[in-house]
Amino acid sequence: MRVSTGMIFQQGLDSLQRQQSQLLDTQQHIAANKRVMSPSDDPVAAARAVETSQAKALNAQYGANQANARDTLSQVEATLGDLGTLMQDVRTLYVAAGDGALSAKDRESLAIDLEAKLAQMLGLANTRDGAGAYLFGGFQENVQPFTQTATGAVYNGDQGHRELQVGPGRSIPISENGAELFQRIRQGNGTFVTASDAVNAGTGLINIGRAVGNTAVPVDTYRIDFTVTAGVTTYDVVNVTTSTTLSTGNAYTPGATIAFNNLQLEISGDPANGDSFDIAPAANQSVFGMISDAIATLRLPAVNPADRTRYDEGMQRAIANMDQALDRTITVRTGVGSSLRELDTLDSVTQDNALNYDKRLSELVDLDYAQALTDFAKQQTALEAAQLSFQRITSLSLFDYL
Amino acid sequence: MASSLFGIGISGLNNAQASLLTTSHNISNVNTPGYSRQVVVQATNTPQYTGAGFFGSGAHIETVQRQYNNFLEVQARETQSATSELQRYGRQISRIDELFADTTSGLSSAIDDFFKGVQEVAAQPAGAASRQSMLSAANALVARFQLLNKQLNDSRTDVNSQITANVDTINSIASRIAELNDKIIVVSAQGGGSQPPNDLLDQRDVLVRDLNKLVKANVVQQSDGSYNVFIGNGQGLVVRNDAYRLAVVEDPASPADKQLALNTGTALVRLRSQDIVGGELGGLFSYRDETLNTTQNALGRIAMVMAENFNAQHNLGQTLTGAMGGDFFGLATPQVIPNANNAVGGTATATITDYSALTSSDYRLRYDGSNYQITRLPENTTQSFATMPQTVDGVTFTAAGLTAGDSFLIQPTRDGANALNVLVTDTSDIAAASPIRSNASLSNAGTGTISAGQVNGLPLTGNNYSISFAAGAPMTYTVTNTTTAAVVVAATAYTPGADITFDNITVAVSGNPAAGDSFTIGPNTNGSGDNRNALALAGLQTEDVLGGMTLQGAYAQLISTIGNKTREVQINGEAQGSLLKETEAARESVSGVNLDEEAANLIRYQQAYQAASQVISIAGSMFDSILEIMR
Repeated sequence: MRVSTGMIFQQGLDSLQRQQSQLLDTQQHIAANKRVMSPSDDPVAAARAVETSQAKALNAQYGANQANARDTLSQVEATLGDLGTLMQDVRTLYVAAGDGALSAKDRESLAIDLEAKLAQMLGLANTRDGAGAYLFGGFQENVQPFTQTATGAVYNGDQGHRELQVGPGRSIPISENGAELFQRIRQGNGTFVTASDAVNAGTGLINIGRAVGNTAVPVDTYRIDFTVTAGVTTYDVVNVTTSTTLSTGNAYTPGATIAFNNLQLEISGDPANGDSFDIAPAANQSVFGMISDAIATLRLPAVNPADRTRYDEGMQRAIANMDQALDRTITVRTGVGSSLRELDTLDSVTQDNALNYDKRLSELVDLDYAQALTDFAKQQTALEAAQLSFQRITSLSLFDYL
Repeated sequence: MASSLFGIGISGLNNAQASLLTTSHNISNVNTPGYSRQVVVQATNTPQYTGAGFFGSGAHIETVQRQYNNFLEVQARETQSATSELQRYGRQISRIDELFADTTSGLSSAIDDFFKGVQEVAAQPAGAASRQSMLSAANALVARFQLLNKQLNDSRTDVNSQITANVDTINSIASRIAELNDKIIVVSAQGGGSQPPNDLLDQRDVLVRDLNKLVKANVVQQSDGSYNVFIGNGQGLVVRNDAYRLAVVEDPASPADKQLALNTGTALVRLRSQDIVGGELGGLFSYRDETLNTTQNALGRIAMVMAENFNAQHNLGQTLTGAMGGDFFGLATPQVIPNANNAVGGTATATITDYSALTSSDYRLRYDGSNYQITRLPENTTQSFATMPQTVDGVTFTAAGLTAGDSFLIQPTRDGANALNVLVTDTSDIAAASPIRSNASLSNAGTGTISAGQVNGLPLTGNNYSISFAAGAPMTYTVTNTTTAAVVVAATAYTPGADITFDNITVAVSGNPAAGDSFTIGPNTNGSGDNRNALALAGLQTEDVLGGMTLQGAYAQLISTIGNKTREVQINGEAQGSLLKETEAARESVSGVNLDEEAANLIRYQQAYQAASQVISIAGSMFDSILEIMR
């Protein structure tokens, strides 16, 4: 082909420019440590990098949420721990109060001690977190959840649970409400409550009883009526709700089990003629009400054996109630503990994911240095060769020989 | 004989001199752009007849010919026009490509940061700090949307001003072509029109090449040697020695965009932008109409769909002051632009009725006298309707009082990114809480539990409700509005875990409630610690809100579209570029000056000149010999 002088220069220049631009491009990629500097370098990788970046940011957010959840739950957990200890203390007090040798003064000092414990427990129920928000008020974190009253405390909060998203599709509750923790506690043995009639004259002491078989709360209220005729004590079992008599004239043996409709209980001591005992479905009571009841029991007059029996019955019920409250606290604390354990597991998952996302992002957009440096060296050599040959070819001219 | 010897010698001398002249001309024009090498075409003179046969009588110069191949020239022009278009397109689009690329300055990180702010509110719903950080992140997100949009707008302004600049250059080139046409006609006519004015022809070809860098121009050569130049759909830009002025005018259908019009002296002929192909102008128009519009619409669509979904959820929430959450973002409404040529009295509106069906397209609504045609742009797919209103792709169009021929340009999402703003300024107006809460009565004997409840829509009554259970097989429940004492759900058989819906509220009771148990649902008074709505808002980040895609997914798709288009244009541009180089090489191979060749020619013609001189000198000495005899 015929070659023109202009072409020699133009093509030489074009080739130099192309190689320089390639070299500069490679240099920029090396300097930025990026294989994909703009979407056109690799559109698919660029789009996937956007999605991976979001997944990475979300993962980091889950990590932050986990840390927040852990902070809050740890505080709840610590408070529940204190609460459990306090409840044990109260129970120990109750047991001490059961000592028959206590004088009225001893009881009064126990009552004062118990009042202090009640105030302490209210303090725990009104715990605030670092930001000043109440831990156990449900959604109303700026309203003091519990206010003390003569018969315990009223709950001003609600039954809301705050949750945080700690993983894709996984939210865990980070707060417990006061209603669940302090108020929804079944009295007595958790199924039913036994009580002597207020006007009982005898020393018949009813224990808290137990439910057998079907442990659902009985819907009906029952009464056991005692009759003492000529030194022989018998009792009748009456369903008060339906006004039907279940059995009559049962011979009374102190301490023997009385069973009906899946309920079992024992009565000891000497019930007088006309004494009666009530068995009612267990209602929910607040732990503060329970303690207030116990304080009232401690301050009951203890004049005659019947008073003494009522006192024993009251303390016995207080212990049973406190066991229920402790049970609830332990249940809630177990739930919090398992949430915390889950958070620990999630934490390592989140960290693994963060590494994976980094790795994937790096694979998508980061530079393969070995490849890039090889390319750079290759392009540099090519450019040098082009420069040299350009210089050689353009220095050839026939005019030099004229 | 001797006199003819002189004549032959002189013809040789003249021819050699002329060839040397042309060679020198070639050498001096070695760097003149578009110069075609010239060669002297010699031919023998008419021989003289004698009884002994024909005697040659020297040589004469037929013509000075430029080494030129019309086919190669046309090919070079066309390749030049295609290359310039792709390169211009490539330069424009690569700026968008880089704009959307950066992981730190792109939209992606701003979306992530915004939802991080929402999550922070979920973690600390009552905290002023977390709420402020969400508001700041929202403002940063809006600013990012607006920044990206502004850069797209800048690009549009840039395109429009480049169109104007290019048109000025085109006009100047056209008038120079017309001038050259004029000169060529006059000069060619000299000497009976047999000799071509080589250098003028070269100059004109260069101008046509330059014109093709700006816009594809077709050339038809006339018998008088002039060029008629046509652009667009066959509109004459130069006809003989007349150049018509190209003007930049507003597009009546879309006033923000420029259009070309040819001033023929009697009328202004509008050139549709899709007819302008090739060259820088072709690149600018196709960049503007294909990429820029779609990109800006796609960005606006992401902004609008995000704002709409966020608002919808925010409306269902409760602020820190206990009020219902209002709109969080302010968002754009579709732009309806009437054609400047519409008859008076016709109106059209467009409303977005389904955000999830929204596309990145514009629409043209046209009335032909009996039917309404809705054309989706730039796809150019048309649907025809006999009546209005009609809904297409989630946009409801209405029209009234139209005259046949009226048209409207509807841009549902063009303004989306620009008009996005944050309406909430007070941190307490962020609706992080749900407006309702549920409680299980403390006297419940059963194990039934109630879900936190969710709000499905507005309005809410703000009343208290109770769900009470009554014995039966199966057990039944009744929902009562305890504020008005009205029964809102009559006794219904209980299915554990099933949704109970009333007055835009849904709750679920599960477990085994006992007869007589009750649950209450009421206003979430003082619910400052509630983060349920914040969690629902945060959930929008991973929800498929844009036709089966998340916000980031749609953004990723936009990036991938731009990246692919950029790559396509760059690769095609490179391919056209190398084709152009090949075509130029082929053209240069015919027309280019080679200095070595010219050097050889110099020697060759010098020798011819010297030889012819010798002929004259010999003829002279021959004449002297005769004179010696006479003496």
